[in-house]
Amino acid sequence: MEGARGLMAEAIYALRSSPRLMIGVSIFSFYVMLAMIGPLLYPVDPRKPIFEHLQPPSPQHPLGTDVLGRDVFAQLIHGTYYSLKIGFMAAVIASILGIVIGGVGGYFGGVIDDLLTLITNIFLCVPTIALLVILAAYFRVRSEWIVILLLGITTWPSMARSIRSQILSLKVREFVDTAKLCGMSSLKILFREVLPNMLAYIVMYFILNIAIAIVSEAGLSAIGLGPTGIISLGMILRWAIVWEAVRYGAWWWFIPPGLSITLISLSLLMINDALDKLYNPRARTTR
Amino acid sequence: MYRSPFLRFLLRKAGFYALSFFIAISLAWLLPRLMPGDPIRRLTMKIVAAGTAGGGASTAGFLTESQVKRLYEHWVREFELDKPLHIQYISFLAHCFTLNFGVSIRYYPTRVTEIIAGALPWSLALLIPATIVGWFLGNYLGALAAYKRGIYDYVLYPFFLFVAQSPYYWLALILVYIFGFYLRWFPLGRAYSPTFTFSLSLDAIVEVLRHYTLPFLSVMLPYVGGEAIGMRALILYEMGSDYANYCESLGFNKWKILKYAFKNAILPQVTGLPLYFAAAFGGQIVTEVVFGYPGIGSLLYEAVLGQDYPLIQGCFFTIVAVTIIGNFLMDLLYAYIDPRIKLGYLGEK
Repeated sequence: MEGARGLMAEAIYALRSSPRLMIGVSIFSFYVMLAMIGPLLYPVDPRKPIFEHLQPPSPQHPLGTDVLGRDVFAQLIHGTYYSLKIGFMAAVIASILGIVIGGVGGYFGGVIDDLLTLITNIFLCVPTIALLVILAAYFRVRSEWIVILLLGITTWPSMARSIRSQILSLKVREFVDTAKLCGMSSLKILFREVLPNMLAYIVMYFILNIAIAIVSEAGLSAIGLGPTGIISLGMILRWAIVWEAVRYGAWWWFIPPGLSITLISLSLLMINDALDKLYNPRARTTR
Repeated sequence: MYRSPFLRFLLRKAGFYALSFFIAISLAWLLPRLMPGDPIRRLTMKIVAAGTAGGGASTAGFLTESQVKRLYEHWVREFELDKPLHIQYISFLAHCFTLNFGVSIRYYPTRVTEIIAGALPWSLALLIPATIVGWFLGNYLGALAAYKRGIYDYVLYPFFLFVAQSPYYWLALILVYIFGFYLRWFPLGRAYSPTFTFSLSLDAIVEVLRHYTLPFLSVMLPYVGGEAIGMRALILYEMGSDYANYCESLGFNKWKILKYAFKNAILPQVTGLPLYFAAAFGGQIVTEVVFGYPGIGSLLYEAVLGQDYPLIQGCFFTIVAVTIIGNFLMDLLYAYIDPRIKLGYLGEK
């Protein structure tokens, strides 16, 4: 596989040339590993209130226990897994919506574009979290898939807007004219010719969407409208808020989940930023 | 008809916001009707259950089958759910115009409008100063980091990145922990103590400030971070551009070049304000809950917990209205400071 080797070499070059990418990838990989192999290395049930409550960190409980006597580190492992999963899947939905809505509007122009731009702008100026709250409030039981869907349909607008403006500049290039002369259909040109040229851009936005979705999920969970029945990072924060961890001074309970949310979204942002510098020479001049 | 490009810009914006507002509140009306389940039945069940749990003292504890049915029908009538859909919709819009969202279920029989009128000033008192102070401070620090580089940049930039990415409410928890629990400078929650009454005495002002400071910081800090990151990048870009190099080779004072760069960099920062405003008002919801701050966010939270649909819709209406009015004001500001709009260069699209 020549292409794969080329990609590997390029990835290694990118990692070596950009410390920011290196840091971002390291932090993110750490959390992915924590979520994936954490449950095997630390097989404690995060739901079982079987330990002494509010213990500070100790060798036995690396992050102590909460007010009900549940192990915080076990919660963090499971919470990271679900937060990453929800963020990733929501970003998939948001990106598909963003690409289709922004792409079709930008490429075809005219009335379709006006309409799609209008819808995008309306979504952009309504507070996402308020829309999420009112949507989530009407579901009594929210499976993770309902939350993923809700996050997906509220996260796409900024991507659609950017994709549209990218398409506007790409569609007047020569290769599009050539494709038209060859008699390709518009949709085929859009998805086969124009969009592949924006792949780097789409990947960057996809990464950004994961970060946005993870933070939104945490906010939704923190006010009790997250997925019911699973542990996410926002859910741990919610418990810490509801049972007033601060009043007990239980810093080991509320610091780790928030720090994880911050670091995960920060690492994704760093990766996004570093990729931007690699693919966009204009941005390279400023550190 | 409208010769002035400035006026045309504003009218187009106003039209767009009116349409957005209309669609947003229509969604708030439509969505619950598309959702599975029957909120009124749930509500009736809840009241019956609450009565049973409350014991014999409550009248609802001994409701017979027919009484429950009558209660259910009463609620259906009260929410006008027995009428055809288009009539419901028209009456909903009419009610929105007169700011009538009906009666709260949780705080029965207080009107939703009254409850919201009590909470909104608190929210605005948090949002507006935090936005203004955060914007100026963020842009100042961002420009400083970009201009001074070196040690300033190494300390400030990671700090900006960190606070910009951390969730408001988590920052709130940390602030409460450090200043409330550990140092005991500030109270652990509540915007005012229960025994507090308003007066213009020094004590009262100190009391309010004591309860206000931490929520204020937790809303402002992420914004400072976000603005500073943007400003830093913009100033770095401007300082590397041709005109800056040219001025430098002419021997201009570096502060003078920074001033030019700042003027150019500030426009995109103003453009970002409306988007921030929407996000901040949303983010504030959770902060208010954490601090027990009596604003719209806490209200929405209680409404959601109590499945108080009229109150949820009233809060949603208010949040969307504040956001859209805020956006429009920012556009006015933008149109005022961007010379291109006055000259009509940005006429169509």
